[in-house]
Amino acid sequence: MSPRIQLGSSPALRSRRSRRAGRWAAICAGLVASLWLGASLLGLRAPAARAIGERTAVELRTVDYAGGNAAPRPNAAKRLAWEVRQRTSVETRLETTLVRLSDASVYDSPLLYWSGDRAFPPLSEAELQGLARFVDFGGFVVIDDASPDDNGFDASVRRELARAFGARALVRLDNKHVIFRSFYLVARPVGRVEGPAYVEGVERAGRLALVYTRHDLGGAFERDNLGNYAHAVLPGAERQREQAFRLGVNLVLYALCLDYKDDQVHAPFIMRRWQGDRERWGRARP
Amino acid sequence: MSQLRFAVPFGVPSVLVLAALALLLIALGFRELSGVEPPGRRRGLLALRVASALMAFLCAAQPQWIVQRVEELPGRIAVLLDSSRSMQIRDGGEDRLSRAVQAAQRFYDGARDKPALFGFGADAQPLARAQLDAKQLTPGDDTRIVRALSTLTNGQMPELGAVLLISDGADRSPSFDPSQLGRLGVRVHTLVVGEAAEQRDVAIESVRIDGAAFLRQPVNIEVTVRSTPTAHDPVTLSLRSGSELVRETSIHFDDRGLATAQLSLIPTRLGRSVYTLSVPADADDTVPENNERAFQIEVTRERLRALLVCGHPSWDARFLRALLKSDPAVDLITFFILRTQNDNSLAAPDELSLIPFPTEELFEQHLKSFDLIIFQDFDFAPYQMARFLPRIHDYVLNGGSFAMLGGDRSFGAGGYGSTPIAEILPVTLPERAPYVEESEFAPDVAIEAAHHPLVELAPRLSDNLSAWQKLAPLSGVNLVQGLRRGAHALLVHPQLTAANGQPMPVLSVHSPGRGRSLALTTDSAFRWGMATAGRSGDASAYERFWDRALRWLARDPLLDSAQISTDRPSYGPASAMRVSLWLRDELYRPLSPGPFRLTVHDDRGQLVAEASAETDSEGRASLSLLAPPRPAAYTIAVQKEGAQQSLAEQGFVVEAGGDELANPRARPDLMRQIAEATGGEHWSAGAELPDASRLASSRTRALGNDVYTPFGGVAAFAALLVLLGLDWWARRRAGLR
Repeated sequence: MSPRIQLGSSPALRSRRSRRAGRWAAICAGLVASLWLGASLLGLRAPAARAIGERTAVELRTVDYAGGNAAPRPNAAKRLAWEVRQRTSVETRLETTLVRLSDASVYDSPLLYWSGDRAFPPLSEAELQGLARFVDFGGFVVIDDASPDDNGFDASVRRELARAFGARALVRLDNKHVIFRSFYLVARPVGRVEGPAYVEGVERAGRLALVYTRHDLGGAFERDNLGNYAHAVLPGAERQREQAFRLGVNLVLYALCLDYKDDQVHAPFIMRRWQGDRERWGRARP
Repeated sequence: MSQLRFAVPFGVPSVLVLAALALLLIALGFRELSGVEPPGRRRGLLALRVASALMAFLCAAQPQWIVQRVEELPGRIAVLLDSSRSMQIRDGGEDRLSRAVQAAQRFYDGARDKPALFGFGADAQPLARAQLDAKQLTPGDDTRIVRALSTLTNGQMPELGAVLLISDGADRSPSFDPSQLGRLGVRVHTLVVGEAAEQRDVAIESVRIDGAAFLRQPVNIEVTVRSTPTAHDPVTLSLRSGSELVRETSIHFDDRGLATAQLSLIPTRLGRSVYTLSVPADADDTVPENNERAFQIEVTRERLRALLVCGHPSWDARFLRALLKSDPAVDLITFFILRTQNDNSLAAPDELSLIPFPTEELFEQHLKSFDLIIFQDFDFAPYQMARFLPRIHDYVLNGGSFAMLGGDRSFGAGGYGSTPIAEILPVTLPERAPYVEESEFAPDVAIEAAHHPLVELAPRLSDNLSAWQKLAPLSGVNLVQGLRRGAHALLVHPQLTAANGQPMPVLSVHSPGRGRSLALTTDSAFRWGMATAGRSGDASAYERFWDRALRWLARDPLLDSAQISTDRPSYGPASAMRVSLWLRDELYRPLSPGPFRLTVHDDRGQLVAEASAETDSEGRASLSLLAPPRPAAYTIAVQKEGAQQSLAEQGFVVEAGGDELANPRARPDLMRQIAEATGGEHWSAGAELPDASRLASSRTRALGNDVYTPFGGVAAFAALLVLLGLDWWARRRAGLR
């Protein structure tokens, strides 16, 4: 063990150094506290993602497209990811990315958030094919109209969905659909605006593959850089905003669990039936 | 024997085109010559046009006549003696076989050129003269006349000139059609033994059973009982399993002497079960053996009952659940942990759709209802499940299946290292961190396991390895210490190694006790589906992997590495049976060639027969055995020489009656039809056979073919030119161009 060496110094020098060190410590502590507070306000302090590696955590990728506004609510997807992580056991990625439907990497993450606030020109054939293949291979798309008061984005979305899936593919979903009870019990869809009492969707191979909402969910989720909500929610204010978050959480849970909540209704009955089987026929051998 | 063909290239299509051209030429001629006068000249010109077009067609199409030259040679006669079980029946004083043998003896002894002798039941076997004795003949099984004749005509006797078939004609094979026997190309003379007159007999004529039998699902059985003579009092039909009476019903015969009964039974245990049907035999019943029939059913589960427990919603869980839900053969119960103690849902319980995780109900009350339990990134501790883990351990040792899939709540990270679950896993778990490695990787197929069905994406090794490399890479892996003793790694990490220096297992399998377990140490296997499909358009690898994994875990017999099968489910007493083996080890590699021991045990567990077999380089073998003489249910098993445990087993039934005796009356009509269809002679029961030299027994030998091409020479071409010249000259004379 090496001997300890003490450097000699005068008491005055030690005192000056001590005061200087105290100031630096205070400045550093303040800086750390500010960063912590800022991060908290921005909603960026979160438990680490628990999947093996970031790639398997759930990411809400935003669809990028030409000619319109692909990100009218720039941090809405991130906000929703944060809320899902806080409220449920789902492990989400807080850093979200933009992706084109024609990009080969679109298949890496099976959940897309597609938003806009104005009309956009027709998608390319490659993008249309990418959308259809994404859905057919198991992906789930949430389309959110950020300007439900005008029909620009709405008309463009309907045109593209008709091109990709056929004119009658988009259908209204009533409030008994499992998306309204995949985590929260949600009575009706709302977002920044109250909007229609329904959402629409496209079903493929017996599952809901795409949801289209005209409630500006992203507008209800959006916060500014100081952590304040960016848009007023009308007419229901904060209670309506909470309902919007619950619908958003439900959509993510549906993407991950599909009709699991339908199973839950049936499971006790199925198990009781099996129990009855065993009582009637003796113990089953596995 | 002659044949017409065309020598023009491309055959019939070319001929059709040429014919169409010739017809077009003729049609044009008709149109052009319609105005020519007088009518005699017109008809002459038309005749010339038709002749020249026809000649042009023949010169182009080149028809050929092929005539086969054959010579007739004296052939040898084969005597085909029916020794099937129906020949044991006594139609009067003597049984049919004795009368057949006596006829064959007289025919053989009186012949100057000795005929070849064969006996047949299900198959034809050569006989020596000394074996022409009713007491010495090995009894055959069912009567299969076509198969026996085919054996003789397919090269067994090149000098075969004719067959003398001595039989009762009681061939009950469903596809037997005597009129088709002319195709065999050999003359069949027939001598029928046995009386067509009906004896007193009550018989279970047919038993039809549902194609598949499922546990606790009714199995329908349709039984037809025939009475001779047709008038008979009602009888009691009994269905038994061993000595236990399962069903009993009274049946009434109609005017035709037939009675049909519908029975059903509900199997209460998995596996093979043997049942017997019987009706009482009258004192004067000619064939009491056909008053009882046995059959076996293989009882399986209608659907695989699977429990999927997911520690949290994830893409891996979503795609696996969707796949299992879409499989009609799977009955799935899923539980997702949607909220943990650390999550704050900001809602009252009645605003949530969540229910408590019913651990006691699942793992105590209903555990044995499941065929398969899957823990997908699920940690047990927060749910007070430690007390249930020994039950899951015992469930697997007693025959259940268990799979653990990766994630940071699984394997070592899930705290399973020192629990009973660790003992049933194929891998050993680390006691302390690090528990996971996050980097992306493409797993390698363990070369020795490349033919295991779980990882065999293509039959050829190089194609299989290449197919795995084309899949989207995985993200992260649970670290394990190594393989448990007796377990096998199927996929391994390309860089990481286990504690023993071997590549780190990624996918591994084990068979603890009577159960099976699987470990997949990643939570990104879903990338073999969607992400791979995005690259190549093909998501089938993911589906194929899980389909095979489920079937392997559920012990699907088609995926058994060692298989033994018999050529039929039931046999007559002491009849010939064919047994096939395909023996592979747990990694589906052929078991090294070597002697294997076959044993046959009866329903009381007594060893009744033994044999040995040598497998080839693929692990296959085929051998012939004699069925035991006592009617009963039997199990044939194969073991490695010196080992006690069976590699594979298969059941079969020996019946005294069976199909062969279900309707054993002699069929002179069929025997006559056989003779007529093949150009042979027919003799009725009791008739004396002529001397062998008087039986038509010539055979033909092909000497070659003569080919005639009448329109292929210079003369035909010259004739065509002459016809065309005449046509041109006559048209000019008629003032046409």
